[in-house]
Amino acid sequence: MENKTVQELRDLARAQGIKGYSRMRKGELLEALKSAAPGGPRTTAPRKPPAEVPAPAHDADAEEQAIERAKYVLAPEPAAEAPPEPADDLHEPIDALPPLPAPVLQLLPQKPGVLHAYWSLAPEDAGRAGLMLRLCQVSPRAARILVEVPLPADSGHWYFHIDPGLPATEVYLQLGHYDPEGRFVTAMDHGIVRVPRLYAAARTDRHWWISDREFERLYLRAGGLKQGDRLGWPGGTSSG
Amino acid sequence: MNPLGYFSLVLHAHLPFVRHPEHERFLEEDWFFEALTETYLPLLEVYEGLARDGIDFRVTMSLTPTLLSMMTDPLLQQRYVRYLDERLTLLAGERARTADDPYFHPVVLFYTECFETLRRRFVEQYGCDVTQGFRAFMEGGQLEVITCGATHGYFPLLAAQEESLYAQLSMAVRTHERILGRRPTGIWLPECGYLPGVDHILQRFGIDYFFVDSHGVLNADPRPKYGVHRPLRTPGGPAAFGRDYESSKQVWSAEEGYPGDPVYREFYRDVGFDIDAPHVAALRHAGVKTFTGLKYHRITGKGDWKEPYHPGWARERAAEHAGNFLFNRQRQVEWLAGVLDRPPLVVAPYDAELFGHWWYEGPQWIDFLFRKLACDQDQVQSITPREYLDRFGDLQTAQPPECSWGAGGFHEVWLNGTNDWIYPHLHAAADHMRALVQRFPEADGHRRWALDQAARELLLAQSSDWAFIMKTGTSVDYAVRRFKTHLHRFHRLREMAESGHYDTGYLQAVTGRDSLFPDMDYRIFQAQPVF
Repeated sequence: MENKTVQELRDLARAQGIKGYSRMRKGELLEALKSAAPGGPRTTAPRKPPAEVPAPAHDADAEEQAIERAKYVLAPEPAAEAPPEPADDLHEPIDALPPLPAPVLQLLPQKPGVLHAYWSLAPEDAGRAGLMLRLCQVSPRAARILVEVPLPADSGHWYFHIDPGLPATEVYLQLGHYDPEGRFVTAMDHGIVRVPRLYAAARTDRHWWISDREFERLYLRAGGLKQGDRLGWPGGTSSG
Repeated sequence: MNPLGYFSLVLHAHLPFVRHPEHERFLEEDWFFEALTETYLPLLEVYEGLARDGIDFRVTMSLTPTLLSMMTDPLLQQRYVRYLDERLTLLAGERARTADDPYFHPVVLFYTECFETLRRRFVEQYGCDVTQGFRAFMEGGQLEVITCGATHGYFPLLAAQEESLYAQLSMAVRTHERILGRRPTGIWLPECGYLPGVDHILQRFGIDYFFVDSHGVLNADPRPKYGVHRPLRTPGGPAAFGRDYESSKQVWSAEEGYPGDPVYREFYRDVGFDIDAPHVAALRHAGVKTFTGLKYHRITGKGDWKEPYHPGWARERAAEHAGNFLFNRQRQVEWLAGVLDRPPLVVAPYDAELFGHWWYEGPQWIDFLFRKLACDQDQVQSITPREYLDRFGDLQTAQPPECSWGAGGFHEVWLNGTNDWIYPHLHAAADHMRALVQRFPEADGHRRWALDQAARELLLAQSSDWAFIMKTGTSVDYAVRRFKTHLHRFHRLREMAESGHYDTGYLQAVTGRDSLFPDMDYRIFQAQPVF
C-alpha cells in the first residue's frame, strides 16, 4: 500500500467511500484506508464494552449522590426486609413491554469518551449476515472511522469507548454491511452527535479578554485540574 | 452596606409524583411526608423566624411541578395529617417507655414538641397547603421561586424529540403559574442537565436564567473571564449561573463537610428498627419495619456505638458551622474582588432535602447563616440570581458545553447498564405522542380525555427519578414498576385515541390515579410553547 501513488490511493479511498479524500496527503490517505479497510480495526468477536467505566471523580460527587439517594431510603442499610408489593388492582400486564418501532438507530453521548447506541432493525435487515456498526469522526479533512464492530446479535445496544481527548468532537454512526467489493453499504445512519467536552476552551473573548495565567488561576481554584498542558474538569473521563 | 461580593443560596426541592389512592397506605408516599416533616416545614419556619426578627435574607428555591402538585393534593394532605397523628400516638407510648431513662426521655420530649408544632403549623397556619407559606415569602421578595421540568425529565437524554422538552417546559410554566400565581423567570434544569440549544427553547418560555455545574461555565467557549463568579449570557439569551465548587464542598464533602459532625443526628438509627414494642409496631407497613422519622442518636463516630442525641449541642454546632462557612465566603469574596473587575457572585446550589432530611440541623444552619450575614459583617450580601441580573446585567456571551451535576458531570447516572433500556421506549413513545398531536389537532370528547391522560403518563414515565433509583439501588422494584406502568398506560390510551374505542372504566381509573396537572393539554408535545 505504501508504494502506491497518491492518485492510486485516492482512487482506493473513493472506492471505499472515504469522505474528503481529494484533500488528503499521502499519510492521511494511508491512515484513512487502514481504518476503513474491512480487515482494519474490526474484530470478529466483539467484546461487550462496559456500560460504565470508573472515572476519577470529585470526592463530593459520590457524597452528593448518597444524599440525593437518601430521599428514597426508608430503612437502614443493608436493606432490611422489604414490605410486600401491594397488589395491582388494575391487573395491567406492565411487564409486556411494547414492541419498538423499526428501523431505528439512535446515538446518545454518555460522557466524554463514551457513547451509547441502540437500534431496532427493519424486517428486511433482521436476518442479514455481516451487519456492522461503525462510528465515524467528522473532521474538516475527512471522515475517519473510530470504531467498527460486528452488530451484536444478542442485544439492541452498544457502548462505544473512544478517546475522550479527541480534538474534534463530532461523530456519526452507521449501521450496514460490506458488499463483495469491500464497499460499505449503509442501511441506517444517525446524524452528527457532539461528544461532551472535558476541557476548557482554547478561545478567548476579545471583549472579555483574560490572560492564560489568570484563567488558569480561576479555573484551578474553582475545582478544575491541569491535565498535561490542558485545563480540564475531573470526572467524566473514560479509560477507553 | 457596600459589599465586596454576593452570595446566592439555591435550594432545589423535588420529589417524583408518588400518590396511590388505590391503597389505604403506601410506603413510598413516606418520601414526601418525611421531606415535609424534616425539610419543607422547617425551612418555612426558618424563613418566618428571620422575617419576624427583621433579618433581610434572599433564598432561591426550585419547587418542581410534581412537588407543587403533591403539596396541593387533598389526599396527600389528609394522609400527611394521619402520618403526624400516628407519630404523636407513638410518642405518647415512648414518653411512657422512657419515663425513667435520663438519656432518651429528653429526646422523646423534644420530638413530641416538634411534631405537635408541625401539626399545628401544617393544619392551622397553612390550611394543609404549604405552598401558601412559600408563596408569602415569594411575594415578600425574600424568596425567589423557580421552576423545573414538569416531571423532572432529564433534558439531554430526552432531546432526541425536542417536543419532549417543550412538553416538560409548557406544563412546568403552566403549573407554576396555576399554583404560585406567577410565571417563572428562572429554572433549575432537572439534574442541571444542559445541552447546547436548550437555551433557545428556554428563551421562548420567557425563562431568563438557569444553572449549570461548575464545568458548565468553566468549559464554556470562549473562556469565561470571571470563571463561575458571574453568569454567562448563552447564545439563546438566558443567563447561565455556574455552581461554586468551593462552597458546595464544604457542605457536601465527607471529610471537610459539616453534616458528618459527631454531635449531629444520625440518619440511619431509627426507632422503627431500634425498639420492639406494640406502640412502635403499629407504624409498620404490612408488618415490616420501616423508618418512623424518630431518630434518637447522634453520629458519635464511625462505629456502631451511638450516643443519645442532644438537640442543644447540635444547635450550637450548627451556629459554629454557619460562622465557619461565612468566614470562608468572606475570604473567598475578598480574594475574588481583588482579581475581578466586577462584583463577584458565589452561587451555592444544593438539593433542598439535604437540609433537614439528610442533615437534620441543616435548616438551623441556614437560619444562623442568614443572621450572621445580616448582622456580623458587610463584605458579603445575599442576593437572588434575578436581582443580580437586574443590577449587573452586562454579561459575557459564551456557549456552555453539555453537562450535568450528576456524578462524573455528564449523563452516566441516568444512562448506564441499569437503566439504558428505558430510552428506546421513551423515545418511541414521544414519537407516537408527537404524531398524535399532528393527527388530532383539535381532539374533543373521549379522544381528548384519552390524549390528555396519555400525555400525563408519558410525562410521568420521563421522570429522571426512575433512572436515578435504578442506578443507585434503593427501591429499584418500585422505580421499574412505575416506569413500566406509565409506559403501559400511555400505549393503552394511545390505542384508544387511535382506534376510537374507549374503555371509560379504565380511563376513569387511570385518571384518578395519575391525577396531576388538571389543566393538561396533550398538545404540549409540539415544538412550541403551548401556555
